[in-house]
Amino acid sequence: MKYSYFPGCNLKTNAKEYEHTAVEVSKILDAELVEMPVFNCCGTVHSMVSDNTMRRVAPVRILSRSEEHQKELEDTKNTVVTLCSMCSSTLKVVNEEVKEDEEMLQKINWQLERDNLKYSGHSEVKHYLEILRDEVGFEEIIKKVKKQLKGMKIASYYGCMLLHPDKAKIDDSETPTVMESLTLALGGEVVDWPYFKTCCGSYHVVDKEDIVNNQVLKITEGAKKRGANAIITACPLCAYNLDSQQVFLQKKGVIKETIPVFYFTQLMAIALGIKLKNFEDHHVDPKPLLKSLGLI
Amino acid sequence: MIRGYPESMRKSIDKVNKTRDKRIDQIMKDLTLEEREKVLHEFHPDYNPAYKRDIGWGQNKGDNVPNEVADILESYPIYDPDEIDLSQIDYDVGVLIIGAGGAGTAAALWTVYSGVPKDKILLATKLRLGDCNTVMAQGGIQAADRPEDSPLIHYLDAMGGGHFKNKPELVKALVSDGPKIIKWHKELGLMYDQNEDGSFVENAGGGTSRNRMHCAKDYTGMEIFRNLKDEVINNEIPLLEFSPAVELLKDENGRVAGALLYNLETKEYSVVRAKTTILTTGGFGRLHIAGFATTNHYGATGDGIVMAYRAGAKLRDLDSTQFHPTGAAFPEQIVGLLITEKLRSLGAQVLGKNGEQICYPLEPRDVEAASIIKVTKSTDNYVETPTGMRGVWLDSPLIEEIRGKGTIDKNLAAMKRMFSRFDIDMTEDPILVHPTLHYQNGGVELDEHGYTSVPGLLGAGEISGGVHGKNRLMGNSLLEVNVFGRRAGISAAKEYKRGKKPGKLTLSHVKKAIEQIDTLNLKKKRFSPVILPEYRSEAVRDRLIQLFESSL
Amino acid sequence: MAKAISMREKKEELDTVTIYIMGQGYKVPSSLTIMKAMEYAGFKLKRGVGCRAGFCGACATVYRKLGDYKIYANLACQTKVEDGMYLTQLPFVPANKAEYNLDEIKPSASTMLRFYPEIARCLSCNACSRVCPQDIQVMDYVQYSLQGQIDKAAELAFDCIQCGLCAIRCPAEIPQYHVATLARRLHGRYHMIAPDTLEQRVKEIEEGKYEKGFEELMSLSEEELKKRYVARDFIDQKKA
Repeated sequence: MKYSYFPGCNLKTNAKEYEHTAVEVSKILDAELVEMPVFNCCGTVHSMVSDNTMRRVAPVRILSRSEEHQKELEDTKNTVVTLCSMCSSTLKVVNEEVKEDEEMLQKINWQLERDNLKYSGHSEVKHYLEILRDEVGFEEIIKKVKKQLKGMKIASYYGCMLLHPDKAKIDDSETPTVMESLTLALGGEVVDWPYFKTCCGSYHVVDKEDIVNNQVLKITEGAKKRGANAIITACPLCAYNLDSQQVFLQKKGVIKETIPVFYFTQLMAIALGIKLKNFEDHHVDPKPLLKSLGLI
Repeated sequence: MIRGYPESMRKSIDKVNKTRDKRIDQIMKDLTLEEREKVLHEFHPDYNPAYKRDIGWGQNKGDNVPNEVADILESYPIYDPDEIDLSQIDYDVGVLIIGAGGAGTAAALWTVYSGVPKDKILLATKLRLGDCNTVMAQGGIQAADRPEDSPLIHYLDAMGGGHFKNKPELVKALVSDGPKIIKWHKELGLMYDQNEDGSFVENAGGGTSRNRMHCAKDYTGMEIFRNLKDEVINNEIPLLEFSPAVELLKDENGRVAGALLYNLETKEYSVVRAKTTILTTGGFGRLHIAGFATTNHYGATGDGIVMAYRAGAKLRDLDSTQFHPTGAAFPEQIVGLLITEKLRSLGAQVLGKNGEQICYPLEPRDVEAASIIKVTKSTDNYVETPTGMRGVWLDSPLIEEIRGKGTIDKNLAAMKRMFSRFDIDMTEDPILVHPTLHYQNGGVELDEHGYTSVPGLLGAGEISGGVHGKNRLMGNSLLEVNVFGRRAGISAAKEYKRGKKPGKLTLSHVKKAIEQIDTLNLKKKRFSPVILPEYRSEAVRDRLIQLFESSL
Repeated sequence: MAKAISMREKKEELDTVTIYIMGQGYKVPSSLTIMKAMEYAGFKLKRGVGCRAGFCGACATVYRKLGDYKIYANLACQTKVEDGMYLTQLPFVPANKAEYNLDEIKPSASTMLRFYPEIARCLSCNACSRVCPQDIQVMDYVQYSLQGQIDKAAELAFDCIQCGLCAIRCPAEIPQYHVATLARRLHGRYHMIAPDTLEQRVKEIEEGKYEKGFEELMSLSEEELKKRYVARDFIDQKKA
């Protein structure tokens, strides 16, 4: 099975290892992510005010381009797959909106007309975690595991965008299980903790860093208190904030110990026997942990 | 119209398309030196005395040049020297560069690189930064950088192309600096085409014995210029646009010491005093030598040669003009525009109306042009367009037969786009061509450091004479603007460091020129420099009147 | 509003069309380009004219056709007149170009954002691509720049002639053609590395390896030089 994969901006800049491991894993699981030939920003940076059609052009353009891409792929579904939870949320919301509001879809399609694009309204947006849970199945993943993640005590961090708003959630917004189930499938230990969806501070990292610092302190200390030795996430911005701000806090003497932050696909890659390219994107060095557990 | 061509031309196209397979490996023999001489004498406009006359005054008196060149040299200034106040200096600089094309921008950059403070430089130009022939050059730039090539072979190719009349020191400078220029361009981030193994794509050109034509698709000149322009802005070099020079100024010691500029929009003049002046105004295509259409930029009116001549600079080789063998002959909207030689480099053949080859496609340009004119003038083997324009076929689809589908998209995007705007698909059908006025082979004589025969005046680019002898090879002009622009910039920086302030500014040299022109007793009083060509319709020109503006 | 057309121009027995130059009507021969038609009508062009061959970007022209709501844009020198064209030229586009030292920057999304932060405002409306006379997918290269895919941005933007029409149409106020220049220069400098043979040859020349050869060639008489020229060998010219 092949999926039309929409990378968004971050996967090409700050989260290259997320993309690399996800694509490699997807090949092994026969749920392959095939990148759309051309794509634009999902539009999350344009605020989603309710009466502004123009600002929905970007996401709908992606949906229509993906439909073109789906026509080229053999053995595929009417699905656009994302890795970034921000992209996932934006695309899902707009997709639902235009499905419900034919008039809005038509207005947007008029904007796309001169580019010879038209969105039918028949695509589904899915985060890759959903593909793993609903289409590949954890049983299938267990079969492909070559190296169990023994000794990894993993706090699954969902952040806001995977669980909110309702139109965009990929799991129960109060008791999500998808990342925990994945952790078990890979042979890791699940850490139960309260901060799984506490906001990381998001774009405030650019202008009000102290807000982000406070959030990151709360989240990472919370994970450590429950005995975690690793955090996994599905969002490049969450990963960046959790990872880089810990180093900042450590330098300022606020915290002593740090905890490494991974994309879930990186741990999948280790368990499935894929050689990781590098850990350059990491701020907190994850190698000591992985080495001590004999995972690299 | 069927796919861009009228039915009358379609019949001939069918023959071309049918004979392609047979021709693919058929190689026409190139001409011997004697045969070249013969076809040139019989058919090249340079050799037709009706188009030429001797210059009547000055340091090159008696030189035989095209009538249009003699006309602008035998012309009065377009202003009254007595009305100019030279005591009011508007710009006082170390280095003045006149003309912001390829040579001018290269010169400006190397003036900066060589240590002249940017606020001591002025780059003045007639139209915009980059309104020049450089941006229009498509085919490529020569540089002997492959192991099987050498500057010496490049030298021999250039000398032969120029009928051995080139100034040897200039050719040596040209070919020796070639690889250095490409290296500089790569530091600037130029996207020269590369093969998969990382080597440069290098094609042949007419008259070259090695593949040394570096290219950036068929936007080579533009890619070079875009980068130079970006650097001029990054280096904050002071620029004046829409301000052509109308005369060079001298000081009382006879040294060139700046120029008189004219603001095309406000119509005021300004006085620039400069320790050193670099003339990079380009060529004369828009004078339409011998009545030919031209590939040249709107501003290419030969202003520099007029100003330099009045200042006493020696000219050379202006008897020869380059007619590019392949200008567009159809559709009418683009007649005369350049069809890059790269088409022939990539394998396109030149064909008569029945689809048979009429000459070796990669002769030096003058020989190739004369061979095509021979067909359209002395045989019936040409194709005529509905408006009566004659041409021969250039078999563009053959390129993809030889090099595979997609070659034209990849290498000739500009050409393909130009024809597709008029519904012609050059990958499917041949295109009609006829020689077109392309390049000023001669000009102001330089030495290898960019100096003219007049103190204080340097030059670079198409305005100069000597580099190409009597005929320029493809790819040597993009090289020339860079090599001699760079050299002139370096020399100007030396002058800047050693030079004293110029003395009192004067136009006495112009007054002397006027006295000499008076002795010619011209039937019709002409004025130059031309600045811009005249293309308004006669109906309009008949009704032009001069209003006294102060009353408005 | 009806526009008056001069009798004088009507008299000529040509295949003519009527175009409206900045609202004023003129009869012009139908075979002309917009640029030549303006000249025919009596305009002596200073701005809005350049190479006249589609390379310099000076003659960006915007027009509508009678009865058609769409905005069209093209180069005046490369576009045939049509009856009922309402046109104006855009001979100058105010757009800031960032200043940078190429030696000190790297090909990345953060470089693009540092010099042109406004690219993050792209709404993906694609108005830029629709107006491009070179048919470049402008929005896509802006997006490639945002994604740090500098190679793709550079190649997609290669045919740009810097006319600036994109920048005028952009609701996010991005100077796309300057963004393109930065992408191309980064790509040309840092990804397209020159082959070693170039440096090798530069070194040979600087060390004077060819001086003797030049001395010899330059000492030859024209006749001797001609012999050398005729005897020179040609190396396989069909390969690039």
